Amino acid sequence: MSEPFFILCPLRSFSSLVCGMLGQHPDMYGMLELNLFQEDTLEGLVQYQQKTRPHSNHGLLRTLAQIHDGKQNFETIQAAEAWISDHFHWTTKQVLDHIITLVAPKIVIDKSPSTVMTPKSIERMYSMYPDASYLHLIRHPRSTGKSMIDLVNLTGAGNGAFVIDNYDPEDIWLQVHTNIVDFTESLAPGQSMRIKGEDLLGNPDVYLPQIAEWLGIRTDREALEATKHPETSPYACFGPPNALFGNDPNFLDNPVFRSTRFEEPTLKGELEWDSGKHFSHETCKLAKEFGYR
Amino acid sequence: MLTENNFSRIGTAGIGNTRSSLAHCLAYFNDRIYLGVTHHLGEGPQDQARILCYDPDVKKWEQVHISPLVEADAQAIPQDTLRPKLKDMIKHKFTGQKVPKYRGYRSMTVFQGKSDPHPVLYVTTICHWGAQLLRSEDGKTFTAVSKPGLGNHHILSFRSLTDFQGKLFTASTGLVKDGVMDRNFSGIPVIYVSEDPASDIWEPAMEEGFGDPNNNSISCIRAFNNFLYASVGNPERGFQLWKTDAVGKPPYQWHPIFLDGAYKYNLNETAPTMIEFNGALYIGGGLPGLGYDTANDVGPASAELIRVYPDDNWDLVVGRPRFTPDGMKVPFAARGPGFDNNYNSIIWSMAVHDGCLYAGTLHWITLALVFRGRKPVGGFQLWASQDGDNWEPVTLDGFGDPLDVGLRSMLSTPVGLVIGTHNHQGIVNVIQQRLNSPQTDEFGAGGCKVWLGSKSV
Repeated sequence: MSEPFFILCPLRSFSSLVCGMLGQHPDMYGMLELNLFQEDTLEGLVQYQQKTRPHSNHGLLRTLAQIHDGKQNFETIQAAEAWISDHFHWTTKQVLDHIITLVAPKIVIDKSPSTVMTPKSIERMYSMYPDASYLHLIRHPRSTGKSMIDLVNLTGAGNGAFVIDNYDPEDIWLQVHTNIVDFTESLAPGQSMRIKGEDLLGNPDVYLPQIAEWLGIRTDREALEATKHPETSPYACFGPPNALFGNDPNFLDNPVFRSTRFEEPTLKGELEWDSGKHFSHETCKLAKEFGYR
Repeated sequence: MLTENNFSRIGTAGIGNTRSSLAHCLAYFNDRIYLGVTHHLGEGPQDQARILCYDPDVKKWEQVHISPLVEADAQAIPQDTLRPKLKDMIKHKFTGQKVPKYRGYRSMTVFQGKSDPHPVLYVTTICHWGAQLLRSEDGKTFTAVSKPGLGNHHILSFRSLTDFQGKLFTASTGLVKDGVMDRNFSGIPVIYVSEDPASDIWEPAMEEGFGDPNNNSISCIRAFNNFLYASVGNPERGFQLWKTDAVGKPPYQWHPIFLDGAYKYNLNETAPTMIEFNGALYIGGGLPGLGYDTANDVGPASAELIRVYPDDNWDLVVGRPRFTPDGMKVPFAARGPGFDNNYNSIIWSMAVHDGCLYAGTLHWITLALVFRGRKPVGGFQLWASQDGDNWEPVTLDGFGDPLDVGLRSMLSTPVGLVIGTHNHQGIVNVIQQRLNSPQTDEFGAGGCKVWLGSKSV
């Protein structure tokens, strides 16, 4: 069984697009957000998700429907729900191992943002997959923050309007990246790599071959060209009504890659989402270590 | 390749003054080894910097120069950016005292300028009133031949005296200004060049900071492949590497090889040592201080070793694997940052001797342990390689002295590989005193050491 590949980042870090792209490599299998590492068992996971964000199981349902039945529709999602009920006693590792086995020899890619929200979830992931490869995906804190606010306003979270007291994008960016750095620095050199999303998406011909080389997968032109077409994934669309999401709705709406040179914003200046405030010293320090200005 | 058993201690306890904690620079001149020692502070006559000379035939040291004393003034007690609390502790000690004009020597080299009858020894001083260049024809008499700070009396020191195409280059390092001292970053990152240093004729060899306001120190200058290379410290973005053919009149045309700490950004803040080996330029980098640059709040991080080829391509030898615009870089030595040891915060000195490359580190675990009230363990590390890819440790514990935390100077000579240490006995004792911990005294009285590595030992 091949080891999985994890993309670690906070939400709004280009992870949907990056996962979608890498997932179209002929040696890889990009998935929706499975959010498996929030709990040890499937039963615990379902209960947790029902209490917190019920639709956060859409990614798992759609993935199971796709790999069990080859398609995602109302009936196959129902079948996936039944499968989950039948396997409540499984650990979440058994669930992912099941998926890995069914898509073998391809390497599965998981990019669930919930994994990196707490050190406990990261530890759970690592204890289950100590030999996996981990890609730390970064994005400038200013553009990440602005994108988070756009998402909140789009999806209606927080009653449809961004409220800083409920949801501080800078805090999320700093806490999640700190969690990831603390974790990746504990790994052997080379088990994890870091990449700026802006670099990867702005210069795919420079960075995609490097990622492929690192993972030991095909580096030929045909394989790398396939990564530029995330829209060909069966997951690059909204799901059926009983499992609509599983990924960033913006990506599901328009899952196309267009190479763009990013103008990186600056760490200096007032925050767009918190009038009169600037990035904290801690945020600037970590962002500079990542190469942002 | 030399092993630990090939090294013998030729100098200990600061060679006559245990407060001489840093063996800062070395040269081989007139068949003798010259050493410049530096004191952490210049508190009084006990901290006069000295130039020492070792005769390998008779195996004895001789003091050939000692700093003059001057009246203490405000410049003598600047606020140290690395140790913000230190000033008040020591202020009272200076009242009415004489203090050394030079509390250290940062660089020395043998060079023949236009006015020199033969190759002579040049030495740069560390001075709170403007560093100077000393010159000696015979290795016994030293004369200051430059204006303080080459005209800027705020410049603390000059480093990396380098002979290239018949010209002498050096870089301003550190600053004492408005009551504040930065030991490493001058804010005046300029390389100066002279064809005739004896006549005190110097010109800037570059645009200040290569035009980047965040470049605040020239860390090292080195000739390689008919070019002169300069590493530039940058706490915001990481160190940069530039080169010039030094053709025409200064300031010369310089070209960047890479920026941004070779894409490790500011965790590769500075690169204080470079050397040619097997057709490539090896560059040792990391962070100043004890793995954390307190003055600029950068780090913690560990050392890296990089090599650059004549065509400007580069590889990682020791360090963190990463994606870069120049391709994926994976350490050829299969060793992560700090030779797989996080406490190796910087590669501080390198030399090529008998076909092998040697790299010495600063390893700060001793201080970390002492701060926790524990017994010192560790010491500098010395690594060696015959091909640049495969590295073996010569010592992992400062040849048995955990208080010798750094290997600051290294020189290949006809009589062997000479290495000079930075000893932290004094600092350790102060910390232990404050913590009411037992004083560490089993490693001697402190002061730098000098070791000679030779197959004949």
